[in-house]
Amino acid sequence: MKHLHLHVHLHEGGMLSIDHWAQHSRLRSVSPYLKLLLALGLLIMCLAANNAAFGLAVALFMLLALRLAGGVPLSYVFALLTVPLLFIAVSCLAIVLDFSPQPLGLWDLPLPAGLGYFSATWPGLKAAGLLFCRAYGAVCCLYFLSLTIPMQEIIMVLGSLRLPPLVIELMYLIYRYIFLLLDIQHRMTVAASSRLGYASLRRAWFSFTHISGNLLAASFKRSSACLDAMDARCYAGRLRFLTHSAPVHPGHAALCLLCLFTFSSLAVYLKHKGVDLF
Amino acid sequence: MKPLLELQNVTFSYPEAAPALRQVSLAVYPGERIAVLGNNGAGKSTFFLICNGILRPQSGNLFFQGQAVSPKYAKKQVMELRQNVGIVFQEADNQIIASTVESEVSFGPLNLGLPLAEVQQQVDKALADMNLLAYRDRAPQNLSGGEKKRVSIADILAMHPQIILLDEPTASLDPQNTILLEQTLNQLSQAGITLLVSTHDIDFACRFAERAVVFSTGEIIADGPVSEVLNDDQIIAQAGLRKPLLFEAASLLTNALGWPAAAPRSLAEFAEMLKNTKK
Repeated sequence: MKHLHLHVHLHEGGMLSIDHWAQHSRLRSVSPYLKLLLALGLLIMCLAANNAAFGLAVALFMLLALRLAGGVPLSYVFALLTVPLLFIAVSCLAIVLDFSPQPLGLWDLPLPAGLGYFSATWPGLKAAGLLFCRAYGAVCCLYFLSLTIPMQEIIMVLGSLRLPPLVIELMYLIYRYIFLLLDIQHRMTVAASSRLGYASLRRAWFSFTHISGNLLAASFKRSSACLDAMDARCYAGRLRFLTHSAPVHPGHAALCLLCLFTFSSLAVYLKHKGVDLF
Repeated sequence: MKPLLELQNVTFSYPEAAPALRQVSLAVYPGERIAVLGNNGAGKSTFFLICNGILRPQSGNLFFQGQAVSPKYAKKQVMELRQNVGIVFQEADNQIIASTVESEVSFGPLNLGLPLAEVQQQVDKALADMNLLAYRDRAPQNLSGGEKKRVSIADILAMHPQIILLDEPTASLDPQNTILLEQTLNQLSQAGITLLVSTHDIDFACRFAERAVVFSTGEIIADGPVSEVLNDDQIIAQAGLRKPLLFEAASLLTNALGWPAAAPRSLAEFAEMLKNTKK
């Protein structure tokens, strides 16, 4: 029950709710290899095509796939997208604005003491628009991955791609421990606030530092208890699990290849005809 | 009958602390249902870790199926001991390490180096026995306390042990899940698995076990049939326990109404006693 509680708490775009959607995605019956192929394929095309219209088309397709096939509400996806979009917007601003000694652009901001102007130029705007659309498409591809493939399946796929076993084992353990530590931290925070530990900024700072310290101690203690439990089950230095994911369904594979083919044709067409937004 | 697991004069202390176990001797026979009782810090958990070879006694000996495991602790023997003597830890979250129920249960059998097909078969069997088949792909963070407890028992079952040690299995369960757990333990016992259960729930211990072992400050102060050990005022006082409610009720009837002394271990036995005495 307390985990449900955690979900409710962090439902506004937190990592736990991403995990929740991935674990309960309607697309879990589709092989993670196919989903990975689709998303990474489109991501690479999106970056390689260097075309704003194509970037937006990929973004739109991914959002529709998330909503219609994955069952993730769009309002939630947009809430998630705000953070990367802010980053992209700020970097685009740096590209739009150019420094020049004379006013030359569509819009100029005079700097004090005759130092020159910050100008927005047409080529700058075009470059920024292109960058924005490409990045937006790419980010949507990544969110498609994280909202439809649960972490354990991503790790499994990486494992089958011959990543070193140590890395894979660490990924499993880290993923498992995120939840345990967040749970302890959540309980300590509730206990602290029930004793007015967050009543003032000073007290909040005090509580935060002490909870962090306790968390370290708690995780040390827990790690030794966990190692005992692993040893009790004959752990001999290799962390191995039976993993299981949806098999590749021929229909799904055909659909995935069709999407990739359609988008690559679209990219070639746009390039050939020189069609773009800007 | 030969003992399955035997401890002889085992003494163990953690670094810079008073001995956690002193001269503990105990023989466990196949098919027994043993309640391990005693207050916190009496040595129950240390005793379990010794039985499975996680901790090694400073003196004394450990035998499994008549073979001395200590003091050599040869790797092969330790593995055999750990496969046959499983521990279900008190905190399921300390035990669960994988990210789905199925991978979690497969961890033990894979450590035994079994072929994959056999691992899959043992995992499926353990999941079915613990009623977890529908949870196969669920992540542990999305399970309830009772479900996690079942996963931690399936973990051990999948290794086909002869003895299962359960460390305070009812500690974090609600009444409904406690009843389910009791049914599960009865099934395991009927399947021929020897069970040692440490618990603070005296009434549960009384219902479930035939034999009670009482720890106090690292020593075994009593070992015998539940109806005798838990009816002994001196042992109860020394270990800081209390008598089962049904024993108290029976002795009230004896004192007030002059009924014959009895030690009913379950409500069914108590009802039987009432019926018989009326006639």
